[in-house]
Amino acid sequence: MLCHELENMLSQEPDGAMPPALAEHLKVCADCRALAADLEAIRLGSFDLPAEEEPPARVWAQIRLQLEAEGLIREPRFERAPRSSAGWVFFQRPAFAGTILGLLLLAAGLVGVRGVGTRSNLNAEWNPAIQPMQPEATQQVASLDASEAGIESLQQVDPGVQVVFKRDLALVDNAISTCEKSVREQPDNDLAREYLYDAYQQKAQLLAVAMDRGALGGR
Amino acid sequence: MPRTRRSDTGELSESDAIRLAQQGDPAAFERIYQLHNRRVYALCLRMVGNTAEAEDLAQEAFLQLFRKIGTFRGESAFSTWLHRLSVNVVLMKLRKKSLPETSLEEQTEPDEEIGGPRKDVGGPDLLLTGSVDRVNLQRAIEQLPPGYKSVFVLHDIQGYEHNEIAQIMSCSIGNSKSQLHKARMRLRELLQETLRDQARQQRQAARGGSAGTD
Repeated sequence: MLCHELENMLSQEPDGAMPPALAEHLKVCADCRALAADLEAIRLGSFDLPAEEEPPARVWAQIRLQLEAEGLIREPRFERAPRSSAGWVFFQRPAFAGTILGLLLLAAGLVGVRGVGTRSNLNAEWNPAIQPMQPEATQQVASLDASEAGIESLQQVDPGVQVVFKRDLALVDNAISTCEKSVREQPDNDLAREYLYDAYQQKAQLLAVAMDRGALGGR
Repeated sequence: MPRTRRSDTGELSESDAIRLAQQGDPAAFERIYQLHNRRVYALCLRMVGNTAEAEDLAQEAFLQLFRKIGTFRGESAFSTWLHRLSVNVVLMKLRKKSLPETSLEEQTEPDEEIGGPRKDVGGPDLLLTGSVDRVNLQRAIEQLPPGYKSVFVLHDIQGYEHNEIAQIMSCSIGNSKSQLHKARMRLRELLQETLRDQARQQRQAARGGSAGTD
């Protein structure tokens, strides 16, 4: 009878405290004693099996790839230009900032309408038959040309700075060119347009810094 | 200067990582993986007994987790939720492999009675004390039915309490305790068979390799 009670107790409370009556039974019943000892050995033996194991690195690599494929990971694509000094200068000159920003919006809008080519031949490719160019927009495009040309004036202030700015400007122009190509090829791709707009912003900030350091008073 | 990214995943708390992962932050996903991958992988490894399958199962468990992370509302502990997913993934896999499966509601295996002590599988002369080595125990665990195996691994190896196992396995606490006892009883039988086999081989070896048909 006590053997059966021991079994019931273990089933209900596998690791529970042994009641006194059953503890006494174990002293006189070899089979029950062996059972209790074996179950305890199994419980203690499981301590040797680690609760944690390090999986190979490829497991995470595969998970990462799959998450990207399913679009669950949203990774930024572009690295934005520094905002600290250029951005501060940009906002210190609201009139100049407004001109540059307006120009950017115009250029972005032109891209949205026609998917035009490079910014350098914006004026040449503009077809009034499609959408007449507003006089102020013409003036703003001319302002950007002037801003770019104004970098030349930096030479009078700091030749070394001019070299750096020309290099950075070339990088940004290259990025704009690439983005404009993407927009041309995929005119309905909103992300491509967003990247192009970001690139224009980077150029505007770069020019703002150049203007601030150059001889031009900024417009 | 690149846009600031979360480069040090080690600083994220689990709750922050969950919140950011729900927004698609890749560093947050990785942080969650770092926090839980070892236990999930160990669970899968104990359940299936080989590394290749364990890798696949761990990968699938985390993918399911990340796909569903937007639905996590914090009603239960995140680790409990993750382990429930992991156990389900493993049990689905074992079901597909057509292994004999014991549901948590099933009382015993067919033709097996759990009554008094099992006198017919050996008494005091086949005590396991001092004979339960890691290799034999792992092999015995692999032979357990999935239901028993899940509870045993979660409780005795990974240290979950019965109330936690009840949440993971969607069963009652009483059922978890009962299944644990049955798992240990079955392991006892398997280990005693192993001991008898080893003893037989030693006797045959001592007789000078006259092993063969007995």
